[in-house]
Amino acid sequence: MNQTLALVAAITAVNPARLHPALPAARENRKERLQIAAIGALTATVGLGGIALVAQNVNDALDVSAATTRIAVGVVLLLSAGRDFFAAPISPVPSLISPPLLSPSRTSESTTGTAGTAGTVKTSLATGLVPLAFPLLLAPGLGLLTMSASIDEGVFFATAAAAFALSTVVGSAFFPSAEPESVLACATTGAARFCAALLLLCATGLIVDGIFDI
Amino acid sequence: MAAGLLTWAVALGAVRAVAHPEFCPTATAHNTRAAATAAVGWFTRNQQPDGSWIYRYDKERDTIEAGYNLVRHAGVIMSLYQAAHAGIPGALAAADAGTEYALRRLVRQEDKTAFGTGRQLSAGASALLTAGLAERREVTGDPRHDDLLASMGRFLHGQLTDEAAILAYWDRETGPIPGYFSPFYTGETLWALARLHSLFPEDGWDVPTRKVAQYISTSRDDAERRFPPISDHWAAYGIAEIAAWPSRTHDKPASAPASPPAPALSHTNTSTKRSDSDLSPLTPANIAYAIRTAGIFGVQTRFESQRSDHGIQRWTRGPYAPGSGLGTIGEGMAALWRAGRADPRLATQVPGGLDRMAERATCAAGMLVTRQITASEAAGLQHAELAQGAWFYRGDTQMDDQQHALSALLAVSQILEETVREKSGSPIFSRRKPALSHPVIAAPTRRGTPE
Repeated sequence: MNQTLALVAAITAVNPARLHPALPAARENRKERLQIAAIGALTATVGLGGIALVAQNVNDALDVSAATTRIAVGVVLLLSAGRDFFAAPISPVPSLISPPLLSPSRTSESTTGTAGTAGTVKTSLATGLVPLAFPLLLAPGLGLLTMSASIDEGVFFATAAAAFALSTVVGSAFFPSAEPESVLACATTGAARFCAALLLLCATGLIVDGIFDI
Repeated sequence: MAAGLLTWAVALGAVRAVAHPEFCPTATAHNTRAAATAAVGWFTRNQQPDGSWIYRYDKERDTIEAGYNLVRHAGVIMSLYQAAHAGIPGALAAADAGTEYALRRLVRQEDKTAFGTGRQLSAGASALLTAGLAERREVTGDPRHDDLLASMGRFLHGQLTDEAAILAYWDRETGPIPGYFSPFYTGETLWALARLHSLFPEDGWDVPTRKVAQYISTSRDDAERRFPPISDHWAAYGIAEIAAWPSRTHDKPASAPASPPAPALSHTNTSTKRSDSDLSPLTPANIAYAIRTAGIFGVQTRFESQRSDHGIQRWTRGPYAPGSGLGTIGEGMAALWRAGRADPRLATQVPGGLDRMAERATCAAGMLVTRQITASEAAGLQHAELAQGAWFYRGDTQMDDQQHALSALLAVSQILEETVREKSGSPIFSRRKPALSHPVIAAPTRRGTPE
């Protein structure tokens, strides 16, 4: 597997532009958005690192060659790309909408007291884990791509590529979500579709690479 | 959360449907040679007094079916001479008897000779007979067919177009028939001409050989059949043969002594190893073609190894390939392995290197070993002599099933022997699973099996 192809595939599989409307971008507090995104990305990276670690053993146990795995992952990424391209943008996930819903006693994220900060962190942690880390980030496309990349290019590269791809989600959390129907919202949707198209090309590349491998 | 789990379940299901387990039964130098010996036994038992062989046998109906194919006859001769080269008893006599059959069917015109009957003769039959007799020349050192070899070489040369394509047929009255090509005759001719240059390096056979090799490498797929790309084991033989030629003289200083002649045989090619600075006559386009072709053999091996007579694979992968089809994969990959041994550019550029090629070729051989009908399996049949040592496909076996399987087993046996010798250990290419004993499964038709 070509490393550049794997990296581009990982970034487009994450598709930060598609994920952005669902992220904590709805929150007005940038710090908390970043916290949630960072927790989600970090957790997903750990999960993907685990997948990368056991990838070779799983493949051996299943008696599947690396090239065949690449083809299979390419097929899954094709499906993901099709979904990303044609499906409507992800709606904001309820638990990611301000105010936090996990703690009924808290009504505002502007709480500045010690207890309030602890509550915010606690909420960020939970929200960063579910639904951000799983299922939004730890999705099959990225998970299986990490597995294939680990078999072909090693655990370190696969984990690093996944971490880099996930970091784009943290980067996108710097920006608040666009107003619906605005030019920025259209641009975000366009960028998400562009990512999906790129993922489609990457998936095709993986399939062709797997077919013509030896 | 539930939707996420469901997505994962669907994705894993898709992966499982695409990536089935690959079974590569263990192949060793011992069991591949034993299977090759059993295949030679099939030919010695089923040879007719005139030197031809039983062409096709249907064990379900217990009938010997009519028909014969001279291209395949020449192919069997070639395989048996390979077996004779490997020292398998009985192979040389059977091949010589087959040659006598061919010699009675030669057509001579001016200084050219072709093998065939009827008004129109194929280039493939003459090419394979040439390759076979070249093998015989190496095995026996007997020059009795040297003139015939040169004469058939001239016939093959006459089939070249300006683009170095090979016209598939020749008409006794009008000569080469323009516009008709075969997916396999071009590669067969390449190999035959390459072998002639190995045998008679002063006679100039390298010039047409290089032209044909370049045509196959750069233009053939576009000109003759764009999709799917031809899985051409014969071209792989040709590439391996060229790779074993003496090094390119223009890469050496003018004062350098002439290179010693390379071993001419496909079997001895494996001992030809070059240093990084010692390039074979293969061009970069030939190398690129060899890598592409290795990829085709690779995916075919992997696909075939995913076939099974039970489970979902029965539906998603279809029945086992005929012995001829599987044999050509092993032959082709083993030939490219030899080419890689002779040319470090190929060895370093091919994905996974020589080890991967050897692993795939060995996988094909392992499957052949387990699918061959053993003596005990044949014992219960009315005509055990027609089944033992054969490979069946939907109840019938054809002589080219044994031919290609035999050549593949011999080639892989040599890879294994050389690997063991070099690494001083047990074969490293046996895969994880123990040998399986698959019953032979039939498939709907026997179409497109290579000649």
